[in-house]
Amino acid sequence: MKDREIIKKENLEWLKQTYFSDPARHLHLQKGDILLREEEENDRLYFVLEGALVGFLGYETDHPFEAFRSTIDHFVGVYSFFSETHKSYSTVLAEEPTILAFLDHSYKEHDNSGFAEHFLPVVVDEIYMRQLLTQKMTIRNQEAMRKLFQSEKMAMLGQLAAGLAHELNNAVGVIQRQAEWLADWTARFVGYYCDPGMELFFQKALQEGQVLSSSEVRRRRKEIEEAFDLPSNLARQVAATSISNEEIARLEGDIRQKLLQYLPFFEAGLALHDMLAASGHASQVVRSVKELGVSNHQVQIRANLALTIRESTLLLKDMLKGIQLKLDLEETIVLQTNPGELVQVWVNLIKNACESLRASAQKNAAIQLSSRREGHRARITITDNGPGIPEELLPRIFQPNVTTKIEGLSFGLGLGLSIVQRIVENMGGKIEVESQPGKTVFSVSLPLSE
Amino acid sequence: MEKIYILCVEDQREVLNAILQDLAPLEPAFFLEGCESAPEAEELIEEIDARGDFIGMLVCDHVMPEKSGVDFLIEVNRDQRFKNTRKLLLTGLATHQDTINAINNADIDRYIEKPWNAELLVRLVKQLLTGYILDQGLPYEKYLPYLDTQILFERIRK
Amino acid sequence: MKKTQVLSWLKPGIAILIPLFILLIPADRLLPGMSVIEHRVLALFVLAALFWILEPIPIFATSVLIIVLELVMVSDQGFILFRKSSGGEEWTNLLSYKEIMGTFASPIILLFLGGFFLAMAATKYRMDQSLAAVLLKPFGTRPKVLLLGLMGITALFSMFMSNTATTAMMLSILVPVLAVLDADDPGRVAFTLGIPFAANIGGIGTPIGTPPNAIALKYITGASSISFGKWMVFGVPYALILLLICWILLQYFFPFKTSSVPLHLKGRFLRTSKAYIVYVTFVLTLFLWLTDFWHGMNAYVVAMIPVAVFLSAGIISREDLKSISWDVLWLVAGGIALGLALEKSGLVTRMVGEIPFAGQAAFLVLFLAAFIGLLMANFMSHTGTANLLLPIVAALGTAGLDLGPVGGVTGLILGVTFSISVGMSLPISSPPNALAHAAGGIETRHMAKAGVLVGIIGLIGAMLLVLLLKSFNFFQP
Repeated sequence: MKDREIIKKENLEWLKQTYFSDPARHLHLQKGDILLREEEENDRLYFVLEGALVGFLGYETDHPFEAFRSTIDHFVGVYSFFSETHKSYSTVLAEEPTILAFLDHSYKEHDNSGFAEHFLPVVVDEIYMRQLLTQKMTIRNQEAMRKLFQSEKMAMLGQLAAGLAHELNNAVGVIQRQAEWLADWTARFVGYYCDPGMELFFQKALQEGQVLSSSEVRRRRKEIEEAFDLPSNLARQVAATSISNEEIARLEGDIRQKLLQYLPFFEAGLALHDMLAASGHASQVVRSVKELGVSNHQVQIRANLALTIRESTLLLKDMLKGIQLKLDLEETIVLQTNPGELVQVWVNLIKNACESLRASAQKNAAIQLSSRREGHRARITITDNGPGIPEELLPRIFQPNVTTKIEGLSFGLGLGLSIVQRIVENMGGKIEVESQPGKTVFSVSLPLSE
Repeated sequence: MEKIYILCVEDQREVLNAILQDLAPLEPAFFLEGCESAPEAEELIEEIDARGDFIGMLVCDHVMPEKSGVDFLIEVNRDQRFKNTRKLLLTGLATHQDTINAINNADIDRYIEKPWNAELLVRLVKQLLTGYILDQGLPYEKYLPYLDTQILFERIRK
Repeated sequence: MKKTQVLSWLKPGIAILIPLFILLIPADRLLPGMSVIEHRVLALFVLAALFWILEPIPIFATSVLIIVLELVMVSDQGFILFRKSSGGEEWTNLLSYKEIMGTFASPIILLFLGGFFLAMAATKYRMDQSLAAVLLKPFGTRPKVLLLGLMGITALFSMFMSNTATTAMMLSILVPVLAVLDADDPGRVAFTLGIPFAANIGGIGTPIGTPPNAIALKYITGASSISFGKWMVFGVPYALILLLICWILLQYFFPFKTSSVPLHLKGRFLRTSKAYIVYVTFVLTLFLWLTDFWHGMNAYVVAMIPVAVFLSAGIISREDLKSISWDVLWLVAGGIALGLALEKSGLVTRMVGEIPFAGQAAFLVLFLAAFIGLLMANFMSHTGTANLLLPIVAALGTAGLDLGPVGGVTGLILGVTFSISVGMSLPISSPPNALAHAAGGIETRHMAKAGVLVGIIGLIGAMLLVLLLKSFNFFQP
């Protein structure tokens, strides 16, 4: 239980010598032997010389409760010995072969040579121990309640999120689909019926969005103002288009008139581009939130690890353009798991790598995916040669709402990694990250199916 | 001839574009500028001020990397050169404390929540610029079609 | 250089180069016998005209520019080289610098200052608003009648307050009214146009109603001078009749669709001692203005009384003093200085002598002058028009014309002055028009349609008035 503080070591030795040294009053117990029974009479005070005892409340019931544990130099039966009723409050049995010494009740009555005085610290100690026990129980109880509450809250939040995501999913889906259709249709319409200048302006915005930052726009604005003698507001709009001076100079007739005619097409293209990007972002977020809410034990099948990784790279085909992808996969690893969730994990990790590479415009950008068997576990690593994760961010990278700023709309790194971690941990796995400029490694270890 | 600038500060380029597009109807009279961060805006403000032009209006997001919108506005508010400059906070993510801070220390004139209504934004910006022009003592006649007439009438009848 | 920059220099360029060019032409080529000083004044006059029309700088700045240029170029304390001929002798017809500077504080200016003080105190103590609320109540909710009420109150106020301030105040009252009307109700246009029109027309009613009146008074001197009360005797009826015609026209052009317009104005007269001082002073000043024949103080002297009272009573504070429209006062001062130079240099007499007026019927001269006034006033500031036109018109009396049929030069000046005030067909015609246009809901063509007609009727009315006054021998001292 606890180191004795109330009884001094030399006093204990003295008590032991004086009262518990008589071999006639020694008792040997085997493992499992019952010393005292709850509610039964006991008029002996025991002292543990060797071994260990354990006391239960409600030993006969379905839920016995472990009340205390006594080892060498502990007293047992203090309550029943000193009380008037001489009843044991718990059932005490030996946990291992144990040697006890004891005093019986007659001792207390016949000997007046300061017995009570000698044993007062022992009694106080017992009271103290019990109080400590109660406190510990309370704390443990509260902790359990808190955990229970937390998990209920999470479950509720998960349900709420899932419901919300489900509702939004359809709406966002329609917006995304229709925005794509509208962009496609408009592009074709402009191609057929409008002059090439309009198409140029429209396509430029639709394909690239606004590539220039606000400070670049300002610089361009000045250049354009000077080169073509345009009013400042028109120059601002033209500057945002990233149309080159040569392309402007090539416009026939009155440049100002032509630009006024073409700019709305850039605006329209930009609006469609931003709509596509934003609706894409929205559906990404909705999908992530759905993952957050979904219980992870729905589908558990034997899944080939290499296949799930390959599938992820297929899903990210567009993103991986211009990035060298190295696969080094152990083909025969099989896991008992939900393959959909596994794909989600790889997609998120690979996408993060892609985004970091893109944002830094890394030359010779490369991502390496490898899987290995390590004993009873599989280890998967995703390595990129991007600029790395800032050091101050590294310890918090798996917390929700942590994001590395990426120009333009940033797609879900914030929610992504916390979800990834959750999924991996629910599978009994672990995820770790190491990062330095030029090398960032996410490694996931998962238990193999038995 | 003096120029009055409307400066929009917003870190997400798409959103910045949308704000600029919404305010474009005011452009014949005012000069629109967009910035993607508070430090960039600070630099631009200095540049505009050095040219002798006016910062009439700041439309500012709050949650931005590097420096938050409220911190930026607080600093502008302390600067006597911009004591008449009107400040509008356009944000979806300000906490209660941020908001208190914005009102008490940055002395913001208006607060709009995202997503915003373009018509409302233009109306508020017009109102604020009307006040700015009158407080700054600039001739209002030139800007008449772009001002809030109710405020203008109330002010010039005195 | 960029096209936009070229354009921005075009206006001041023209306005400066043409007068310079005139200075370079030998004087005799322009007008036979013209002196050097007259030559310079002519260049100044052209400069003023171009600056007031093209407005490369604010019109009040032009006024100050004229005064300063006069001081430097044609005054007896001007630049030494400008004062002497090549032979070293001083020019004979140099202007007195004191007189030029004196225009800043000429009685006309101080009359206006008095008017400003009255208007400022009235606004500060909410007399305007309370009065509007009380006066508007009897007009009920029928839109036609309500329009008449609004126009009548606007006209009344603008007789004492500046037309711009009156318009701003009444338009701000009007906004809740407009909100009740349907967006496509033409009545909205009638309401919105009624205010600036009434303000322009109401300004005609008193000498302090609008700056052209004051400038006119400056040229009606000597035996034929007109007192405050006398002006009102013909000014107010003229304004009222024109207001009624305007009201009928607006209803005809922009008929109301709704039958009822609820308008509830809040306004209670303040009952503080200072407010009472304002009320009493206002009434007293007006009374003194109308009874000069009895107490002998002319309008200029009376105008100083409210200034003294309001400053002494702390009704107009130091901060209020700073907000006085000095631009209007100096705009008028510049006009007076220009007229002074034209007259004292003798240029105006020479110019008028050159115009082939002689032998023309006086009535035709009146019509032509009034028409030019109306035309100019539609495109530039009324005060600027009066500044340019009235000195010349005043000189016509000396041109050997028989102006008897139109009541002499006084009749001519009044006819032209009134015609200038009814120039209101475009947003740029006057500040009230610009404000109403900015209030929205009306298009320039609406304003032009009604404004042109009101202008023409006003012009004809002004001529009829002059003839009527003549037949009563009003202009006889």
